[in-house]
Amino acid sequence: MTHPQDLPLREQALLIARGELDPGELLDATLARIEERNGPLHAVVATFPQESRAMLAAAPAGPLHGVPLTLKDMFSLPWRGYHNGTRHELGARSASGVYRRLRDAGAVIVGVDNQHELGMGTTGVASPHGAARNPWNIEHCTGGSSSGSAAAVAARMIAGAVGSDSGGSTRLPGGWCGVVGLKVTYGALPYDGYTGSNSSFSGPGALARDAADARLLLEALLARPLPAGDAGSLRVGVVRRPYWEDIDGGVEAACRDALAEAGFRQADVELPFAELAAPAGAVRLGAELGAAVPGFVMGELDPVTRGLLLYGALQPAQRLVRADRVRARLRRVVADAFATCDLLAWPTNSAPAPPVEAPLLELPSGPALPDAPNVRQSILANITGIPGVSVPVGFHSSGLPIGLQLLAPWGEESRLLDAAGRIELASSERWIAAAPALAG
Amino acid sequence: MSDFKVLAAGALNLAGVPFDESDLDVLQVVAQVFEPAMSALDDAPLKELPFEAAVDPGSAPATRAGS
Repeated sequence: MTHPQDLPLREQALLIARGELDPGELLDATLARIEERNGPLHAVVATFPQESRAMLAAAPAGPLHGVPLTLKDMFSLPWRGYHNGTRHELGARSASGVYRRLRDAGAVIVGVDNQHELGMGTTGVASPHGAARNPWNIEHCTGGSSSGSAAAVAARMIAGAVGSDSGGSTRLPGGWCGVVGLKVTYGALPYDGYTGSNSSFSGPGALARDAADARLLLEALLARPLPAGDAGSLRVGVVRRPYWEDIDGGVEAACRDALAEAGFRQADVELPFAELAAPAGAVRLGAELGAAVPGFVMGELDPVTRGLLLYGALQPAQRLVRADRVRARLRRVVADAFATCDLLAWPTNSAPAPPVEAPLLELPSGPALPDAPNVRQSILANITGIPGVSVPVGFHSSGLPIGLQLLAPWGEESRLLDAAGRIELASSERWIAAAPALAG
Repeated sequence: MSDFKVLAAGALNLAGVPFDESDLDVLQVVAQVFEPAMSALDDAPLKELPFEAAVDPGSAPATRAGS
């Protein structure tokens, strides 16, 4: 008999609505699945069966009625304030905006996911709960900072999770774990009770096994329908420089092939000043994140996180002003680009997930620490506020997943999901149907 | 102690940011990784980069125009 967490999110919801799946049994089976699989993955850091059962008992009829979900540790719950990847309850216990949207859709929160410490890293390695591990190879990183959310979905511990993305943190782990990772438009839902309320870069996001599940979860988060459209006529802008440069050959080929197989009309697009997006984003994001870190946490942090915070503290104020001017120009550059195309596309990650014990990317230019190449690929969406998604498009010769990133204009999450769905169909759904051995 | 660490320690002290000596080793590596890209901002062509008071990208009509 199929375990209910092997079913897609939408099928869980449908079966519950038809009375063919008992949501109480689904909740128990989900908690058991998490208990069974979480040990080596460090994906989920807290469960709370009593509160989950109370949430189910009070769940209204809605599109996610009775469906279990997990959340990144950046969103407060009425019974648990966010910890933001630390040992401390940094946020007040409250019904955060994300919690309210999910509660009102009938969902049941069953756990909180591991994340990279303070959201300040793209590997998922730094965490007081231990490094999150990639279900496709537990010796490798998950990506981050929504590390546990991506790993939990990939390992079929949960069919949907809510992450957060300040510099690529849903898309990057989505790419490395072989799941759909979507960042919403900046400010698209309430930010109260969310660490992102400290940032002009952050947006919550959905992690799910495929585009259709991500759509259902996103509809609940945005509290509006996202009707599917025809992606056949979409024009894709391929931004060669800098985003297709210094990319692992296997990653580049898989992304290129996925775009071609989907039959999109493609054209090369230039984005002036795109090469400055990463430094400009790093300066402002570093300042925003650093300003929100309480002093009493500093002594407990991973040395690299401390180093990043200190480096952020040493940035000259003039650079911040220059970064904001770059940002202003990039908003216009992106708007101009979307006058000629419907989507922008490039690889989510420069290379597949590196080992946890030696997290270096093997790039054509040589080995590199992951954060700079990862942020280069992802931060344009954050600095301009637009939505983005990573779609699974294959596997590297190492056996690790590969993701293609698509960006859309402000508020066009549905267009991203239309395109992601078309890519999935063009590949006969083989990448999204694949499950890691531990989830088989 | 390297010149970098001496300068960094002085700047952190001036800014009132707590640190210990082992942090300076990591800070030096972080700076070596990020500084080449970050310093590109110092040479950015300001004439082509407008100053806009708004930081919130949601208040940027140019971005919205694409949707």
